[in-house]
Amino acid sequence: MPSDTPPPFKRHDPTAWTRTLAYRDRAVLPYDGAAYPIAATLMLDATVYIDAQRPGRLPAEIAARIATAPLLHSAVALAELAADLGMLDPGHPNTPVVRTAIEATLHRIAPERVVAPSAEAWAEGAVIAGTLARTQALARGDRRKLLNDALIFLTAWEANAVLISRNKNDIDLLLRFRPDVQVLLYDVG
Amino acid sequence: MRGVKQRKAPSAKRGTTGSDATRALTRSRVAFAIDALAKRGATRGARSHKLSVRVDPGLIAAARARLGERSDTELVTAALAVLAGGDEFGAWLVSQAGRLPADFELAF
Repeated sequence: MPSDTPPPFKRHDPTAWTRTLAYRDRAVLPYDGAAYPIAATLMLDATVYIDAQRPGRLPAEIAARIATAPLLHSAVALAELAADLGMLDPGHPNTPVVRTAIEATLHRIAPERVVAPSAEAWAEGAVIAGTLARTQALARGDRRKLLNDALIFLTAWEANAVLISRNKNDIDLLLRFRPDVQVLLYDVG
Repeated sequence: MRGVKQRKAPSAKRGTTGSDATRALTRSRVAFAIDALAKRGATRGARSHKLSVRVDPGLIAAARARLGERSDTELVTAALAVLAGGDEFGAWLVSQAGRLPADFELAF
């Protein structure tokens, strides 16, 4: 149905992005947890589920927030976890441990806490990822990865949640297009 | 338009006291629990069940301090909602440190 609001695929003008974007200094990126109230709803990037289960990877302040805050889960991030169940080498000695950990993680997530990107987010995220694939001259495999990142990023916005991530470079790029998305970055230990 | 009908979490703004922030967090967790129960179809949308119980008044005072000033009905509703629909996933997740090999990374 026609409306006055531009459709999501017109929200950004790809022709306005002609140069390779340089990554910005850490100081201007959202690393300050105090910027968000402790009651803020969180959404976790895919790597957070892994960092939390590796030894000593998640900073204490991030772990404390995750332990207490209301959480939502991106269907895209969970798909990245589930993809590993298929990717794991059945003959590798670590596979049983990793498989058990990922299955336990997926099993414990309440279905009503899982949020999928809307059709609008798919369209907008695809335009952003396509634009960045060109400006950053991304390899074919990295383009899909960035599309996933864009979908998780926009899903957090749609759910009014703060996205927790350690993906500094991709988040830096995505924030150029949508600086209104709430993100809290962290460094791994 | 945001595609997900999520309520705005009651927010503790920067500069509020620690107990204000804790109350905001508690209210947010209660709201999430009620929302989860509704999505599961566990609630009926009406406060029609009358309950008369005897409880330790200290328990009521402690719960009220945690939640902020609320009626007995709201306190009991909050307690039941967290009991029935609370989400402990975050606490569980961060308790799993060391479960995965140190060098493990997602393939995708």
